[in-house]
Amino acid sequence: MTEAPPQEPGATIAPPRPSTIFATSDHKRLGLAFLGGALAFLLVGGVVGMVLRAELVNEGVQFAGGNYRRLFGLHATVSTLLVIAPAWIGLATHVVPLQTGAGRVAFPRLTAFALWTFLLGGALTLVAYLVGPPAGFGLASATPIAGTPGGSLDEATTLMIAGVAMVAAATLLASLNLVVTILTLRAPGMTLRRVPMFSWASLLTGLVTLLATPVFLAGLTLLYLDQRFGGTLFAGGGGGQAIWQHTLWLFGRPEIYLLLLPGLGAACDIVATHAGRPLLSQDAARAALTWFAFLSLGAWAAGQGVVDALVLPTYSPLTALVAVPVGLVVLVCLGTLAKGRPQLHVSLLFVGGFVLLAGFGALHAAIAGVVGVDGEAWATGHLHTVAFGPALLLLAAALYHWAPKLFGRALSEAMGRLCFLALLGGFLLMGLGSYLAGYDGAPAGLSDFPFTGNGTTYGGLAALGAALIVVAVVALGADVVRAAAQAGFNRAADDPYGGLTLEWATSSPPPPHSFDVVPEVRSATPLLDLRRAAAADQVTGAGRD
Amino acid sequence: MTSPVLALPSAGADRPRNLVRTGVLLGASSATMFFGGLLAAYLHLRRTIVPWPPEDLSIDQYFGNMMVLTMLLGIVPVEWACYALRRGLVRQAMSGLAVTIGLGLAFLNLLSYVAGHVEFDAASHPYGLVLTALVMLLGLAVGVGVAMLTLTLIRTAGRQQGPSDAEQARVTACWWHFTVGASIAVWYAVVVLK
Repeated sequence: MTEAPPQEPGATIAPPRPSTIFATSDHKRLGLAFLGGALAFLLVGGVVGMVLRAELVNEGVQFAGGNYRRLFGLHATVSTLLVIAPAWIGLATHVVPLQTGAGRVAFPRLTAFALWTFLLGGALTLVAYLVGPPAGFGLASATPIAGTPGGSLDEATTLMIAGVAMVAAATLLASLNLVVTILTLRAPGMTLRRVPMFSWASLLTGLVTLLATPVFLAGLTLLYLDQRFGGTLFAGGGGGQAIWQHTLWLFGRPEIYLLLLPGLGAACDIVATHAGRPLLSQDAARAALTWFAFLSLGAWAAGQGVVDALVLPTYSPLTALVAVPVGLVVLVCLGTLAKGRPQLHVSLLFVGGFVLLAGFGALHAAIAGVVGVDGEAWATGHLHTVAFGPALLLLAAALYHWAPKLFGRALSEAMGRLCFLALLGGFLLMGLGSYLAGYDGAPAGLSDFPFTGNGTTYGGLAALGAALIVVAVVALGADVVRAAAQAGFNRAADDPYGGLTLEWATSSPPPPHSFDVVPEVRSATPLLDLRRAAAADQVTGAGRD
Repeated sequence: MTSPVLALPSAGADRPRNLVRTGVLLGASSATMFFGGLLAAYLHLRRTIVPWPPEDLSIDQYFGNMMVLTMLLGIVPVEWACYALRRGLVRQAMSGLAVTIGLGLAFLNLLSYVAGHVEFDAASHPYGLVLTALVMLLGLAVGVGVAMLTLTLIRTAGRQQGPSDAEQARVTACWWHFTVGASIAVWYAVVVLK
């Protein structure tokens, strides 16, 4: 084991050699590797999305040629599976053992196995789209990949099934590890009601993942066997259509919610930390997150009315209820800020952006409910506005907030503001363009269609938004890479914000063993308790003097 | 601001940890959902495809019943092994584990025999596909169980677990009970309901 870093802020320490990542079982380094992989896939997905959007600026086919459907499938699969969920897993793998005082994950080698499985599976998925279009539409459609009678198995489809299965299995294993860590390794005194909100949200996310992902793996198993043996189950009329839809829904619909759930927990911790006080109501926020997780599983049962809405159960009353817990979390956060003495940190900007973007999506959901929508383009815009956009904003907020622990130094405030403006503006513009195109009846998933009315204007708006999102991703990635590369220099303070939870009780970056002393917990905000006790001691001491 | 870590009161000794048991229980829950998904697919196809099973197929109830009985028999010796290990009766624990391993191997042998003598292939009918998936994965689950039992037996023989640390035996028993449940579910769907 290497020595713990020096305690003085601003000191220079020697970061571990990059090559040791292949042998490490340190949850912090494995979490960072998860994050790095997810950000790399985000860049790929973002660039492909920008090409797709640019294609729709004008009539005719300009960029994608005959590969539009392949790129569409790639974008949908990468965005849904390889980016936000693994990024949250990476962040949770790093932060949760610190927040809960565990100092380690329950099964470190299992985390390493999950990491390499995820990276290999993600790479296989990308390679599948490079060697040829996989049969079907990837995860972008509820229509399954049809088996080929006679058993001719094309490489691209096999690679895609294998890649997606590996990523799903990696997600499952990493989630299992996190759940066991939170359930069994919490610091003494940390009851489940005292678990910090991000860890609580990670626990809920892990539990839903443990229930939903195996069903998807069962569907993938059937799909693979059908392909392998040249069966007819998924070829249409074989009865496989409904099986695929339900196995995919039971995974895909919670998955879309789960992209946001850890972010909501992170938002609670970020707001409380920068407000300098506990959340207005810990129990209300905790109940809202639990209700949110419960609804995510309920989203599966949306029924035939949304048969084509793969991961967007917008029209189901049960799933529309999700607005209630999100609204409650937002109210708790606003109340906490109002009662506290907030220090403006760039992570708070991202949280504010999340509220704005989610509100924008809710407004259009209400408008669509009144005027009715025919165009599938509306659903595409809504998916990005209420699912991917808010999740990405909250992920960026979490990265900026926990950067001192992740990298040992803070990320750049200026780059953070640039990233925030580009990300929020990008999603707003892309959402607006897609919504307006949807109100005009525009379809989705087509490389070209007869433009009517202001179609090209809407397409241009959406493409500009996509370009801004890519700019934001590049800015965020550059900032993260710079911080990771210079991790040994200009070390951040151990507790730069006056934090409330245990991760701020160790050094920045934490030593390999995470804590020199395993702290004892007596409330949900142990560091605040400590400061109050110290202040009370000072008053008592002054009185004696 | 400097770290307040040094000022924090030190926590007490580590509390008892049930890491492996919690992990295996959660893993078994996930595996239950996995088999649940496959069985749901089987039941859905059974309802929508006529004829089901294919008309020219005869299901041998004898082998199906024997397989599930073999698995059910394993519950007793694996629990016996756990009981004995908690009381430090190593020889009895090893006997229980060995008997369970034998029953697991007998099940796998029977499963491979049945799989080798079926009269249809996976591509011929959706029935064949779903049944292939169920049989393969049930065999895999039981194989994992046999591997866990063998590891536990070796550790018990090497005195690496005893009355104060019988968690691995308990975990193995949990997984074994899960495989018994899964085989009963598959037997009920395939042999009883058809």
